[in-house]
Amino acid sequence: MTAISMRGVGVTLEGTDVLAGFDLEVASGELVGIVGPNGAGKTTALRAIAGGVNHSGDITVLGVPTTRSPRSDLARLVALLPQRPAIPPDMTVIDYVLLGRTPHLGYFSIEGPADIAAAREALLALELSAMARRPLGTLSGGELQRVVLARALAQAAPILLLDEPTSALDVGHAQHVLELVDELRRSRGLTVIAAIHDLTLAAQFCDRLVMISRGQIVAEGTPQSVLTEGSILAHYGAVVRIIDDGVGGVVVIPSRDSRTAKGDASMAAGT
Amino acid sequence: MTTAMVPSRLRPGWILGSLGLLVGAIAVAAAVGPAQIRAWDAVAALIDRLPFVALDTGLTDRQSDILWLVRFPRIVLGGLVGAMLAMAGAAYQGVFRNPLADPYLLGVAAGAGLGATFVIVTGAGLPLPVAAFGGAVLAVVLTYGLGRTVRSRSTTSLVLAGVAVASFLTALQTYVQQLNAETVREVFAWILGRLSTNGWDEVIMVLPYVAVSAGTLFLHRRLLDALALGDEEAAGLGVPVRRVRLVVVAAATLGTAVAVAVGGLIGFVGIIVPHTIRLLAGSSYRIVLPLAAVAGAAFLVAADLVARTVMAPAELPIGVVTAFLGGPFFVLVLRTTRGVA
Repeated sequence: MTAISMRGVGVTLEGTDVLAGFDLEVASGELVGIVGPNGAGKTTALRAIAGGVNHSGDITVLGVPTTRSPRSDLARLVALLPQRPAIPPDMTVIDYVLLGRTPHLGYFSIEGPADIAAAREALLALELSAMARRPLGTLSGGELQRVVLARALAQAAPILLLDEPTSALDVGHAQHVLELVDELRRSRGLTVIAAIHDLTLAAQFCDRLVMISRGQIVAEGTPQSVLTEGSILAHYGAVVRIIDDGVGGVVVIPSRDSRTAKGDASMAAGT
Repeated sequence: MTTAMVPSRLRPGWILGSLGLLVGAIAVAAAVGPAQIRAWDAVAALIDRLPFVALDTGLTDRQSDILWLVRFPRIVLGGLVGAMLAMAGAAYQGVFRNPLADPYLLGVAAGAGLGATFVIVTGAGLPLPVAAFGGAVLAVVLTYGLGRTVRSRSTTSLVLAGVAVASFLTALQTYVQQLNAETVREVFAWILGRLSTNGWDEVIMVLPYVAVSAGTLFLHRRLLDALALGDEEAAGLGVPVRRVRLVVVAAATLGTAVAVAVGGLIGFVGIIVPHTIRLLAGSSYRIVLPLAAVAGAAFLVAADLVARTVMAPAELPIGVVTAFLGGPFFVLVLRTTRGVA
């Protein structure tokens, strides 16, 4: 079943085309990674799916056209974790996670026992129950990332959009968070699209990668087929070595050794 | 383990504590004045009025009249104004995501003052709260619009815009006030903030507006918590951000206008009371809004007591008392919230 379908999607922000002719199909249960250089349009693509930005073309989520459903309906289907979520320092962890229940509540309603149970379940799943009453301002970066993920779980949306969930984390916490996301995807049947900065991590955790450059999809497929020395040189302007890790992923290693490589870079960028 | 996983809720202890403060302030305020009345007798007189309760209050008829026609109306009016200003301050802080927002600092009170002055001077056939509301809406629109045009939208730019708007509207208000020599005294006494009343008339006049404003703000307590995530994330969770902001600002502005219409310009209640509650009891609006109502009432009843006793038989404007406490408190808030966007 198709979870997300984007057809000819374009987004123009302040006169600039940020996305253009964007076509993407994501099946239910997939973990798709979006990679691409800074400013390529990764965040905008995620925001367009979540209904956070005006767009041309068609986007359907689980068969529902997003432009025709109210934002609160869409929020029951799609949970978007921004790259830099707002962290009100005085808010307690459980209060923050409980905000994930917002799309399930009427305008004036207050959370009921079922909502509180959903928040507690999310805290348990992410091993946060011991810090439920702590203010967000006292948590570490890794703990905060789990709290934000817990809010998305409490939202109980079948589709999870993650905007660079690991960019603020060290290598250990980054791996742990993606491991968690993958585990949750399998146990709850979630569909996940994640913009991921670290190409090696993206290759290790995603079934499929989509590379965007200047608002357009330039490569799509298995990590091995998308992450090539040529594509990274062309779109990132970076010289790298790609090593097959033997278990389905690749390792991307930046290298700056030869002058000829830099010559290649300028040639490739010019084509 | 799950017992610790409890969301922030208003705990009975805090309600009882703040109600205790309020009753204490009422009892002392009822007892203090030129005519001798014991605090306990004043409380007994209140309890005596409850249905199915009869108490021997030990008050003479004259004392009873002073209580019921002079002191209690003034106390109740002060309580309503204090509750309203504290709730409005808390609501502005939530909706503008700005800890320094206050009805007085945003220029809303000055706008309400201009509207009310206009009615007093021209004798236009508008109810005072309605005219005050018109002026207050003008002020909040100006302040918010100005604050948004500033390039770096920091915490202070909104307040600076408010200061500019307040100065401008106060200048206008003074001009209108001086136009008509016969009403200058009346306007002047009122603008400084005085809760002298004429029996229960003012209380009856403001009650419906206060009920609508306070009720609306209270109903939005959960949505105000969600707005702490910022517009984009709140909208992503399905919160109709623009509607919530519009309704909350309208309700807080109505409440402010009514408070100004009967109490004059009383500043800083909306800063002192909500921040003290956040510090002591928690920052969720489910806690802050109800407690602000009760503690704001207690605070203003106490402030009015100070206003009419320190220089007795002369009265100090109540706005002077609140500013005396509020000025230093504001600096404290400014220092501790530096860097908050």
